This record gives sequence, structure tokens and C-alpha cells, in this order.
Amino acid sequence: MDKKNRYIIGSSIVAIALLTLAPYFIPLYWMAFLFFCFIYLVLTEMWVLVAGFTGMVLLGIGGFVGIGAYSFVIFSTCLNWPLWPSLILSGIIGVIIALAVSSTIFRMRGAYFAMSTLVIANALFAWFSTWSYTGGGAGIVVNVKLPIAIVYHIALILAFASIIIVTFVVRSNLGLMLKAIGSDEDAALTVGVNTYTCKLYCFLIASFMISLAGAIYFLYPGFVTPDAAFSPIWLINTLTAASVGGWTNIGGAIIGVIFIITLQQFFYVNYPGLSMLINGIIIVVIFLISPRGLWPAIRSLIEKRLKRF
Amino acid sequence: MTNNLILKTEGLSKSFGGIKALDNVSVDVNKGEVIGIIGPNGSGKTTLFRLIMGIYRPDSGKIIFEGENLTGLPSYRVCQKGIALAHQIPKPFSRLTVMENLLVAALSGGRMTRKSAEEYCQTVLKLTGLYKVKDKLAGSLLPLELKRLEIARALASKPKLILLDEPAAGMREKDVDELLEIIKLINSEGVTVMLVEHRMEVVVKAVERLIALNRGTIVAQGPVKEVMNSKIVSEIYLGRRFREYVGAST
Amino acid sequence: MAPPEVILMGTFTGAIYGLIGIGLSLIFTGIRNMINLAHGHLAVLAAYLALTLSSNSMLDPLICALLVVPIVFALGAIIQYGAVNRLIYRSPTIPLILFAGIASIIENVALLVWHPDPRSLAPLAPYSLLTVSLLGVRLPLIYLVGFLISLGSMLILYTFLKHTDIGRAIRAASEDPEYAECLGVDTKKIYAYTFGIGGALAAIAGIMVGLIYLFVPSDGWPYTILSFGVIVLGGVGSMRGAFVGGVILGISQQLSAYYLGVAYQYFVGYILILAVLALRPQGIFGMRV
Ligand SMILES: Nc1ncnc2c1ncn2[C@@H]1O[C@H](COP(=O)(O)OP(=O)(O)O)[C@@H](O)[C@H]1O
Ligand SMILES: [Mg+2]
Repeated sequence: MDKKNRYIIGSSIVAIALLTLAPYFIPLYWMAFLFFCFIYLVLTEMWVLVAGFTGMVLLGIGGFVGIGAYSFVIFSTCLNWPLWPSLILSGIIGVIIALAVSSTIFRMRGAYFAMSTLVIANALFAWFSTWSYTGGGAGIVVNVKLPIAIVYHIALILAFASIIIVTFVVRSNLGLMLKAIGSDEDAALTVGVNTYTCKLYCFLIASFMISLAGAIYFLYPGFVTPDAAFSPIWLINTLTAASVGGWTNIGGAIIGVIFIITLQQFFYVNYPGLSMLINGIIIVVIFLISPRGLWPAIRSLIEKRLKRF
Repeated sequence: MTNNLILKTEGLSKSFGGIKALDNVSVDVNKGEVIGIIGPNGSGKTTLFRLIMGIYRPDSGKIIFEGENLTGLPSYRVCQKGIALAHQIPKPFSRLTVMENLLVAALSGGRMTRKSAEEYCQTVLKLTGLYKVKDKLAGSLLPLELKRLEIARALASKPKLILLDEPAAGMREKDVDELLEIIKLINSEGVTVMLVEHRMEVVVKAVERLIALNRGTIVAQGPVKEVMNSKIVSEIYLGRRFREYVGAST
Repeated sequence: MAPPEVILMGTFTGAIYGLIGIGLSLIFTGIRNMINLAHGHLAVLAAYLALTLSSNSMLDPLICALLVVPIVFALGAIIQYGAVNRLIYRSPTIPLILFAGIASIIENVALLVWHPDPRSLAPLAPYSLLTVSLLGVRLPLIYLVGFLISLGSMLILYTFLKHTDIGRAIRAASEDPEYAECLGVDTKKIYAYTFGIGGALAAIAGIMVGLIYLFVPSDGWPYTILSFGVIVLGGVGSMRGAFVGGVILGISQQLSAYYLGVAYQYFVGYILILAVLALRPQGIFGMRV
């Protein structure tokens, strides 16, 4: 166990060092590739925390991506505020939205909860499609000039932070309560768990991180439209990454994310719709053959084989 | 006298649609006693426990625990006040290990550190005979182990009053004796026990006082012998089976 | 005061929303509180199938519907029988993920086959240009057709649930699946019927909407949310409630389009749904059929 931990920490340090230096020796294409991976890693880790462990199916994940993106545009471009305050504030706006809707959506459970998050995401989408201040449906340019390497590094930090946060939360007392809630919310209540507060903490953490990821993502194309910011693709990609990596698997998320981004980049030029079609098929197939996810199934298969020898 | 009361319900009523599950039920529970609740299926025993625990809200009536009115509190608050419930049908956290199941209960009030909670849970696991399986996922336990886990998890929250809803259902003689031992031990630590039980042999051995429910109302209460011999109880509930039992044992 | 044709058009389109909402509601109550996240996508798929069939055969879209609706019924039954039945026993949220996958499949197949630009069934139905006079108001005939077909479908569904063996079995399985099984109901088969019928209702609604408005592959999402809104407003499991919920949504859309501009019609509808969720989660009516 100790040895395994040391191995994990060691290889993480090497990986982070390499990723930090990467912009100075890899071509732009691969930098973009890694950048997409970082953004989706944030979403997938948050999905693992909120849906995988706690059982809150956050269908409206794209709503937080979009609100982060638009908050950032408003602060940085419309109001001309400096980069860092704008960035942090866009995360905080996500948290404020989450707080504002929490008392309504936490009264609901299961599918109703899930659907109401989707309604919220779409209400935000409909709002930003009409609001002329941010250009309505045509979108708005993000007027922030940053070297691509900096954008890359911000995303790297956020991705790394999300892994650390989810790891620590899951190991903490809060994480234990969240797992209990995910297993049986009523039973958790009767053994004294304040389920409302626990779910709220979890939801706020996720809304902050996802909104930040949304803000950072749009630094790369430099242009925000409601269609892109609130797209259902955020949800489908995250679901695919989580199915591949495992619903409660913090490390597996990395594999899931690399998988979806590879797929996306492979089909991007010729058939953009095809990668989403394949994603859909993958979600369905993995769900039917291995409901807890592909990577955990592969791992236990490998471990069984190894034991036999 | 009132000092000695730990729980008092005043005129509790609860209906589900047209069914009156509980009708004007007042019980007094003394500190440190083991009190039994009997009644045929559907007489409202589980409903009474769920009302006390705050899982259901009463239509009318009050629940007073240690002089404090708990009516309307959510069940996690009730639990933190010192009442714990072992459900009739076990509701384990099946994706957590047995140890984690207990830790959730022990840590949820925020009164214990992780370390002292772990130590305490280990004691509870040993007491309930679950120590061997403490690292197994609760979802993989056998039915009888699950019944024990229900009790163990209720104990892990360090209750002053524990509500046991038919803990002996489905147990064989040997397991029942072990259960009775556990109940005695819990009680000797100063925990008050309310026990819903269907099986007479268990009730007779475990409790001092009995409350008999029928169709949501109290039909008799008092010392075990008195209640069991009362005409109304043997007629409504126990019928032939009980008389056979008493005949066999005396 | 809004002109009466706005109210009337809202009522007519609202009935179509009511129909698609009843489909979602039937699946929700009939199959263990499950939400069909691909519901709107089934509606859009039906519109595209009718489009292809009608433009190739030169038959009227409404006649093509006679073939398309059974196809969607079969597709729904297969999805339920082949896939969802294996998952529902674990929790009502688990199928959501599966349906998200199915929605993505339908949407992107539609994108590849029919391309992203907006389409309409109206050019294939010459009578859609006609107008009628109703209560002193002139409005396109197609709205009235949509309204009548939706009402008719609801009546047929009501009679079916009430008076046929399968209908009774569907209701029994929705009241208490375990008990129904004890009475000899094959719940898995009944679930397949339930999902198929729910999907078929979505298909009818999708074709009707396709005759009135333009549609694109990604319209499945708003359709699903509007269907959910219908059962939020009308209360789960209530056919009358769903009808009224649909009409409220339809009128609110037409009114907001009239006063605020077309762009606001979805926003107002969504806010209405959220407001009801916040204030009256049991629905405005909260009654059962
Ligand atoms: N959640 C509920 N919904 C509807 N009826 C209920 C519910 N819980 C209990 N009941 C009804 O209340 C009555 C009492 O049930 P219960 O308290 O479980 O009895 P007991 O535990 O004594 O067998 C029964 O008629 C039962 O059907
Ligand atoms: Mg009971």
C-alpha cells in the first residue's frame, strides 16, 4: 500500500513536470489536445464527485460551463476588468447560481433533480441567446490577449486542482457522508447525516470548478456563443469520459478524458457529428456490459489474469 | 417522576390516505428501561417508530424527548439528539464497507474525531459480532448479518434511546439468544431500548414493560405478565398461539 | 390585451405539448419513475422520418405518420425491452445516463442523414397554407388540425388504458409493480408496451410540431424539457393536468413571443417551469386521472 502510494506520487510528479514544460517542446496541435483534456478532466472529476459518489445526476453540467464562460466575458470584456479577478469571479458567479437554485432542486430527488438541473441550464441558454448585452445568439468576442502557453498552464493547474480536491473530499468525513447519501439518502438521514448541507457543499465545489473550467475554455477559441457555451456536448462528452473511466474512479477519469478527446480530434475535421454519435453508442454499450464503467472492469479482469499466473 | 421519563409521546396520530395507521397514541418511556411494543401486522408499530424518528410528520400530537419537543424535526436532528432506529427491513449503505457504515453514523453528529469514532465503531462491531466482516461491502452481507448491521449502525451514533424494529425476524433460536445478550449489554450501558417484536419468546425474555397496539391504538400497557394475560390482548392479538406458548412454558 | 388569435394558437400548440408530455408522464408513472431523456429526440426523429417518407412517396405527412408512429413505437419498445429493463431495478436515475446516450445517437444520426439546416413538413402538406375562421379569428388550418389530432390521440389513449387488457396491465404495473407481477402481469413486457406508447405519442406530437414549425436535430432537448415542464405544471400521472399544463406552456410561449419577441418564448417557458418547481413541486393541479 505504502509502496503503491509512493509509486503514484512519484509518477504524478514526473507527469506534472512534463506537462508543465510541454508547451516549450510540443507542437500547437498537441498543446490544444492536452488543453481540451484538462478542461474535460475538471468536468469529469466533478461528475465523479457529484454523480458518481453522491448520486446527484447533474444533467445541467453545461449550464455551469456556460455561466462561467459568460461571466468571464462580461467581467473581462464588457467591463474591462483584469484577468485574475474576472476569472475568480466567474467561478463565484457559478457558486451564486448554485446557491440560488439549491433550495429548490434539493427538495427533489432522483430523476426530478436531474431534470430540474437541465431546465436551469436551458433557461440560462435561452437567456443568453436573447440578451443583447452579450451579443445574443451571435455571441461575443473574448477580448483577452493571452499567450496560448499561459492559457494552457491555467487549465493544467485547474485540472490538477480538481484531482486533488476530489481525492481529499472523498477521503474526508464529508466524502464518507456523500458516499452514504449516494448509497441510500433516507438511511443517511436517519443515522444523523445532514444530507442537505453535505449535498450543498458538494454541489458548490462542483459549480465553482465547472464554471472556472468554462471561463478558461473560451480563452482558447476567444469567442463565446450560447450554442457552444451551453451545448449538450458538454454533458455527453463528460458522460462518455465517466463511462469509460468508471463512475467512481478518480484516476480512471484521466483515461476517459484522453479517450474522448482523441475521438473528438480524430473526427473533428471531416465528420464533427460522428464523434458524438460514437460517444452515444459508447455510453449505451458500456452501460449494458459494465454499468460501473469500462476501466474498472478492464482492471479487475487484468488483476484476475495476473493472479492466475 | 417526570425526571425519570426519557421519551413521552402525546396523542400521536398519523393517516396514510384513508388508513389511520396510528390514532391518538401516548406512551411514556422511562430512562434505562427496555420496553416492548407488540401488536399484529399493520397495527402501527413501525409507524410509531418512524414518527418518533422524524421520518414521518405526525398529523397531530407531540414527541417529547428529555423534556424537549422534537415534533417536526428532520430525522438527522432527531438522531443527533440521541435517538437511533434499526429499521425492520435493513437499509444498509450497500456500496460502503461495514466499518464505513458505522463510521457514517458515528461521525455525522460531529461529536467524535475520526480516530475516536474508529475505536468506538470497532467496539460496537465486536459487540454485535460483525468484526470479522468489517471490511466487506455491506451489499455483500448475508441477511442475518444485515440485521446485525442495522443494530450496530444505530448504536454507532451513541444513542440514549434505541428503537429496534423486529430485530429477531427470521432468526433461529441461537441467533435470538445472541440478540438478547446484545440487547442486555446495550441496556446495561444505560441505553434505553424500545423493542418491537413479533415473537413472544423474545419479548418475554427481553422486556419489563409492554405496550400492545391494535389498529393504531393502544389496547393495553403495563408489566409483561399483566398485558399478556389481559383478556383483550389474548383475544385480539395473541389468540391461540400465545395460550399454547404459556401453556407449554408453565 | 393580446389578440385572441395569440391565445387560440397558444391553446392549439399547447395541446400538442400536452400530448408529448402525456407520453413522458405515461413512461414516468408506468415504469418506476423513470424519465425518458430521449423523449424529445424520438419526436424529432419521427418528424425527420415523416419528411423522408413523404418527400419520396409524395404522400401526405399525416398519412406517412401512420407508418412512422408504429416505427417509433417499435423502436421505443425495443429500447425498453432490450436495454432499459436490465437497469431500472437499481435506481430511477440510472436509465437517465443510458437515455442521454440514446439522445446523442439519434441527434447525430439526424445530423449526418438530414444535415443541420432547419426543415419543415409544411411544404409537403399543401393544406397548411389554408386558413380557417374560428370564433371570429382567422388562423392557419394546421393549428386546428394539430389540436384535433392531439385531442383525438388523448381520447384513444384514455380508452385504451381504461378498456383493454394491456391498458389495465399498464395501470396495474404503474400502481404497484411487485403486486402486478404477483397477479401474473409480465411487467417487462408491459414496460416495453408502455415505453412504446409513450414514444408513439411523442412521435405524433413531433410530426404535428413539424407541420407547424421548423425543426433541427438538436430540437430534441427543448422538446424533452417542455414535456417535463408539462408534467411539472400538470402534476405527475394526470392526463387532464398534462393537457392543461401543455396549454399553459403553449399560451405562455405565444404571449411572450407576441409581447417580448420570438426569442423569449423558450426563456419564459423555462422560467415558468422553474417557478412551479420552486413554489408547487406537486404541480399546479397535482391530481391523478
Ligand atoms: N408509507 C405508507 N404509506 C401508506 N400506508 C402505510 C405506510 N406506512 C404504513 N402504512 C399503513 O399503516 C398501517 C400500519 O403499518 P405499520 O406501522 O407498518 O404496521 P406494523 O409495523 O405494526 O406492522 C398499515 O395498514 C400500513 O398499510
Ligand atoms: Mg412493522
